[in-house]
Parts: sequence; structure tokens; C-alpha cells
Amino acid sequence: MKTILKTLSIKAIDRTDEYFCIGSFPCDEIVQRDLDQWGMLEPLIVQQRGELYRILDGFDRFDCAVRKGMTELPCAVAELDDISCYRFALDKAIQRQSYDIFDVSTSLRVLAEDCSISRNKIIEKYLPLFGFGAHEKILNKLLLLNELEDEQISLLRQNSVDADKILLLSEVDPSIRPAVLTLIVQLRPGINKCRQILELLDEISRREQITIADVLVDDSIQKILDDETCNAGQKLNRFRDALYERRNPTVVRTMELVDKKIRQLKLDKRVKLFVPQYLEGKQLRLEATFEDAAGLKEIARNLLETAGHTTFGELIDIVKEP
Amino acid sequence: MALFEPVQILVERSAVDLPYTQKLLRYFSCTPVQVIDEIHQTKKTLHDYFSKNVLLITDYKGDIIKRCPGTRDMLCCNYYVANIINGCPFYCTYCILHDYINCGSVMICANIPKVFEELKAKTRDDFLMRLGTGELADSLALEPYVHLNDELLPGLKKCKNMVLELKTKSAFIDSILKYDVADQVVVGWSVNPQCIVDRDEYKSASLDERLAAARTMIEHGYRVTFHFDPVILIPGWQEQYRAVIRKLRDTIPGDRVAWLSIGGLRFTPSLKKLIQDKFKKSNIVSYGEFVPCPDGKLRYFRPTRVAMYRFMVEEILAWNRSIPVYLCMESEQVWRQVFGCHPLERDTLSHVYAPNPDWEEDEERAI
Repeated sequence: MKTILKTLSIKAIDRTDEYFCIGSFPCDEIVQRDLDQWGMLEPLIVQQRGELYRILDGFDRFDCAVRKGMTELPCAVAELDDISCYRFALDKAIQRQSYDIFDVSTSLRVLAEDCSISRNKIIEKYLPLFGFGAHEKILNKLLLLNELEDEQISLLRQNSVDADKILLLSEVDPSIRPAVLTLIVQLRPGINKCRQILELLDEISRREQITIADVLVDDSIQKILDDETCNAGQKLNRFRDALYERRNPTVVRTMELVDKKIRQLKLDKRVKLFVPQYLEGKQLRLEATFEDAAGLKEIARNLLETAGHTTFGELIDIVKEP
Repeated sequence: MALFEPVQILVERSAVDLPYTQKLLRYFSCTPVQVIDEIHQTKKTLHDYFSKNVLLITDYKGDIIKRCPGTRDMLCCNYYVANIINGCPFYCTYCILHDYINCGSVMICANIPKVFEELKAKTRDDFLMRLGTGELADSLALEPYVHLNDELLPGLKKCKNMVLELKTKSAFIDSILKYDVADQVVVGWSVNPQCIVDRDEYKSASLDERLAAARTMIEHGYRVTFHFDPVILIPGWQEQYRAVIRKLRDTIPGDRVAWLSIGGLRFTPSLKKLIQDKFKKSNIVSYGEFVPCPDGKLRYFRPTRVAMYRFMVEEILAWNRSIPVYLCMESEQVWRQVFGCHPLERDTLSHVYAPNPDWEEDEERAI
């Protein structure tokens, strides 16, 4: 890269132009201490743009210099076009690993739109550099993040929401994004529960021909979300169970009836009775825990009694023909 | 627009000189051809790039005719499959091919003589083989382009004790009618209410076109089969399916139906994800309540499924009591709930569900 070294007035550098600002540049203590102790040893790298200069590398040093009250700075003026400058700034960001998923999303958009780099090249070259798999689907999801509003991005950043959940959010219909975002921030589900909840919401809304927002404002759902006696984990489980029940009322009702019958049997505490999962199958299974022959005999006696119980017959009937 | 217009043909080197390959190359004379060494290596790289627009021609080295794999803990109807074509130009939202065949292209096994060699080895006097070409493909959808029936049907006369079922959602029957094979060929149609055809069976023939084609086959002395598979519990499904069965009753003499199957909508979790991602307008996975079954597939909850089957069976038997009706990929438990017995105990089905003695011998050998 061809550069010309110059000492520039701080006023000649346009800090507000963040076109090449990829990732975050905290004016941290170490940079500040170095600057205080040794002065600006490494020049900023800038690009001339009309009367002013914009920073390619050194946003953090610039901020620390302003804080220190410096009026002039050593700069290397890069004689490169915008595309090369952007790729340089991108390389620097990747080396520092000082970017988050939103910075990646913005960079990919700039590469695709401003730098006119082909999608295939972005997929094969840039996605792996950012630590993503080289797949078109991933590029599409990352590009979709550019549709998020600034407030939504701030909220996700403030709450350190994981990248996989942010990607999931990008796929959600924009009209319900604020509601889903609130759920993600408030209930902090893991990625699998997050997916399951979104799937349940989608299926309920399709089947009942209402919007997902309508599902979420339902009184019973709001009651769970507003319950201050529960922590986030408890709310999350109750919320998910409520959605599952609304999506699968017959399954829940039947399985609850099975559980009720098993409870009514008042089985010996050393015995566990299992019905086939979701009643797919006809064989029930018993698990007994005992220490000696006497224990086994006692369990066997109790089981014999259970087998003659009317409730047991009812349970068998449900399993046979729910 | 043609249903199938390959942009490229890839021919496995060892298949180049096969007679059927040469015919296929003539049928697609305007399509660029590339000869490759190993088709299965190529298939792995095709997925995202070529989608359905590549025709692969191979001389398949493994068994082309196999027992239908069935599924764990479900009763098997002893069907055999001949996977001569893999891939389908129709785009049914629920189709397992989206999940099973990673390569979206169409592959044709051009070594047709091998099919007849295998048939000779696998048929036997004491077992009527029901063989279908519609497991990994629609048996007739590509017929106007690949003319497979011209290769298969003339040779059937020499094959004893077997029935070939050509299962389809198309109305492409002309190539069958050229041959006199009514004793050995049945044509099967997958049927669903027209609203499902419109929404979830893209590019396929309408219900009326399918039934008209079935009627034509019957008029030419053929028996036909029908497959209510998958039955989908859309709102008002009873009325919708009742209307289809009544339409069948009004068009098709029940005694010309060789067999009829019913299967509820089922899918693997990965297919569900595919349906949701690819077909955003399809609501099929949102209706009904699905639970995981022992074979890993999601099915309607058993009480719902049983009620669905009972309804369908009742309606079908009201049309004609002698139609051999069976459930596809269902457990013995569900069979007993729906029919009150095991299929072997049903007069109309015992010959279908009696296993091939070869398999029993195989199993004995395995022990």
C-alpha cells in the first residue's frame, strides 16, 4: 500500500465518518497509558476525502489523543481507492477480532453492494475469515441482519444476546420482531428452546389464522410473562408449556389423564411405571428398586394389588385406545 | 413450459454405450453432454449448483430391485421397489424425496437388462411380487421425456407372477396403452382433495385429470390402484376427503381397484424443517397434532390417526366392500384399532401381507 506520512491537525480528521469503522474501538486504559507515556508511536492510517481525512485504522488512538488534548497527529495517508481501503480496514478488524455479528453483517453488505464483490467470493473468502461456514444460507441470514432497526441492535448488544439467536431473529417477520426480541431478552431461552418457541408460535398462528402478535397478547400468555413471582427460567418453561398446550391440546389432555391415573394408583415409591412415549406402542414398563428378597416380595405384593385396581384397568384402556 | 428441461446431461463412462443411454441422448439431443467417471462422486457436488436441471445417466451396479425398506415397528406390505429413476419433476411440499435425495437432479439407471435379470432371480411361483417404480420417483411424470415404458413394458411378458405398479400424480398414460400388458401392470394414483393438489402438489395433474386417466386405463382393461397418502388434516378434512371418495365412486368401478392404501401425513424432523423453510405458504405441518414415533418420524397423535383411518376406511368400503384397503407404514396396534384385526386376518389382504417365502428362508439362514 502506498502511503505518504504527514502530520495532520486533529481538525482535519473527520471522526464522524465511520465508513471504515468495522467493529468497536474502545478508548481503553492501555492505549491511553501508552499514549501518555510514549506519545503516538504508530501513525493513524487515513484516506483523504476532499478537504478532510477519514480514518482507516486507529479510531481508538484518535479518541485517546483527543482525550489527552493533542492537536496534531502523525498520519499515513493511504493512496488507495475506497474498495481497497475498505478491504484493508476489514483485514485490520479481522486481525483484532474486535467485531460483533452486526459489524459482520454491515461489512458483508458493503462488500456486496459498495465493493461489488461477488456473492460466491464473499461466501468462500470472507465468511470463513469471520468464523462462519462458507454457505449461502449463512450469508443470507447475516445480510438479513441489516434490516434490524438501530434500537433493536442496541438492545441485543446491551443484553449480549448470542449470535445464533440473533440470526434466528433476523428470519422472523419484521412485524413481530419487537415482540420476539423482548421475549429473547426477557426470558433468555437457549437456542433450542428459542427455535421451539418460534415454531410453536408460527404453527399456532397459521392454524388459528391469527398473527403471532395476537398469540402473544393473549391474556393467559401475558399473565405468565408479567408474573413477578417467577424468575426468567420459570417463566420461560411456563410460557413454552402454555404454547405447547395451545398447539397440541389433545396430546396434553390425554397425557395429563395418563399421569393422573398413574398418580391415583399410589404406587410403591420404589416402583416406577412408564407408558409408551406419546402412547405409540402398547407395552407398559415397570422399574423396581429393592435391596433384598424381602423388599422384592413386598413390591410384588403391592403390584399384585395394583393390578386388580380399577384405575389400573382404566390406565390400560387409555394406553390401548386413547 | 416443459416439466423437465435438463440443462446438462452427465453420463457415467460405463453407461455411454448402453442402448437406453443412446436413446436418452437422442431424446435430449440439444442438451450438452459430459461423460464422467464416477457418478456418485459427482452427485455429492451437484446439490446447490444444478438443482433439478441435471440428468444423470448411470449403469447402476447395486440392486435396482429391492424390498421396500418399510419402517421400524410398522407392518410391512411386502412391496418391492425398482428404483430405475431417482428424482421427480413435481414439487410436493410433503415429499420425502426433499430429505432423502440430497442431489436434486434426476438420475436414470440405463442398464435396463439388469432389471429383468433381477426380476428373474427374485420372482417365484408361490409369491405374487408387487413391484413399483414410484418410491424414489413418480413412475410416469418423466415419461413424455424419457420413454422408460418403451424399455420396460415389452419385457414384462416373460416375467411370471409379478405385477408392476406405476404410481403417479400425472396423467401420462399413453405410453402404457401402446402395449398389451393389462395382466401385469396396474397404474396407481395418489389422490387428495383438489385444494391440497393446488397448494401442496405443485406441477402435478389435477384430481379430475388423474381420475380421467384412471378411467381410461380401466376402459382398456387395466386395474388401477389409489393411494390416499398422505391424508392431511386440513380444516374440514372429512368433507373434503368424502367428496374425493364419492368422486372415485362415480368414476371408477370398485372391482377394478387392485388395492388402495391410506397413510397419514408423516415426516422426519428434518423434513419438517425443510417444509417450513422451503414452502413458507404451506400450512400442512400446522394442522393436527404430531408426536414422535418409534421410527423417528412425526405422525398425528394416535387417537386422531385412528379416527382419521376409521373415517376413510368406512367411506371407502361404503363405495365397495371388496376393495383391498391397507394402511401404509402403520403399527399393528393401529391396524387392530382400525380394522379390529391383523391384515393377515383380512380376506382381502391376506395375500398381500403374507411374506415372500424367500425372506423367511433368508431370516432362517441369518439365525
